[in-house]
Amino acid sequence: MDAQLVRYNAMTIVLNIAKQFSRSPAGRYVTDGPFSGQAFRENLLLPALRQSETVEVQLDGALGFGSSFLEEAFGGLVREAGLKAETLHQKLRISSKLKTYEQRIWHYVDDAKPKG
Amino acid sequence: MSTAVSPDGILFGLTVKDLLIAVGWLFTIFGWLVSNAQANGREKRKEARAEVDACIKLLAELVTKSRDYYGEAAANPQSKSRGSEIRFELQRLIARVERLERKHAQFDVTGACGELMDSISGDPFESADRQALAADADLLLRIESAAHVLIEQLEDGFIKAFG
Repeated sequence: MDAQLVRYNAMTIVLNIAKQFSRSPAGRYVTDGPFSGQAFRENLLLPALRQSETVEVQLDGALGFGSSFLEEAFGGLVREAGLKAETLHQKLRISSKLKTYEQRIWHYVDDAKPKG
Repeated sequence: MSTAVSPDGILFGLTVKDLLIAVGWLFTIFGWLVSNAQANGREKRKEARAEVDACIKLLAELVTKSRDYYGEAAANPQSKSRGSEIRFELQRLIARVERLERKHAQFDVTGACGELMDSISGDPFESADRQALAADADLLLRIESAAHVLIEQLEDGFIKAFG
């Protein structure tokens, strides 16, 4: 896994899941495997969101995503990391040829409730 | 005064005979255009039908594979490869269905794709402590129900697009 963040310009970090994380991301928690949604969120997505104005996550190139992975990676930003859905709508861009993935991700973000 | 038109009479610089030939050609061209448009329409319908059928077949296979996957616990040595296969085929299915939607606006299937995706690959998909499910488990019924909704929407889209 190449955990280096690719800076597209001064304000945007681009994360390509297939290239920088895994072509076959799988599972929700780190206990489910090394390329889980939790691992992606904690190792790549959260650091990128903290370092940059905007983050573009590119989904194309991976061999499919499970809802459990996407929910933990993106819904977990609200539930576990305490970020607000409105903030994510401003800072996060999802790039995918498949509309379904993008719609599900925003559904998970909007549906997640902060813990505690 | 006679109203009969002589076959050798002149109209817009053409004889009546020339005009009749030209009209004949116009009818031939118009007929060809209509027949060509109908043939194109039939071809598009046939292509869309074949694609809808292929998606439904893929969907049925995906439901069967999901049943096999959830019928065994995560401890099964084939669990990981079966999970990857389901994830890959789910993505292929979504791509094909979305392509249909882009080609024919009457198909409105993204919502149903999302529901299917959540039912198949939501928890406990790819969980390390996943237990085997009974054949009548709620999750399996939910997968079948979501597959049924997607099939219905594909068929409805086809009817709206092609009658």
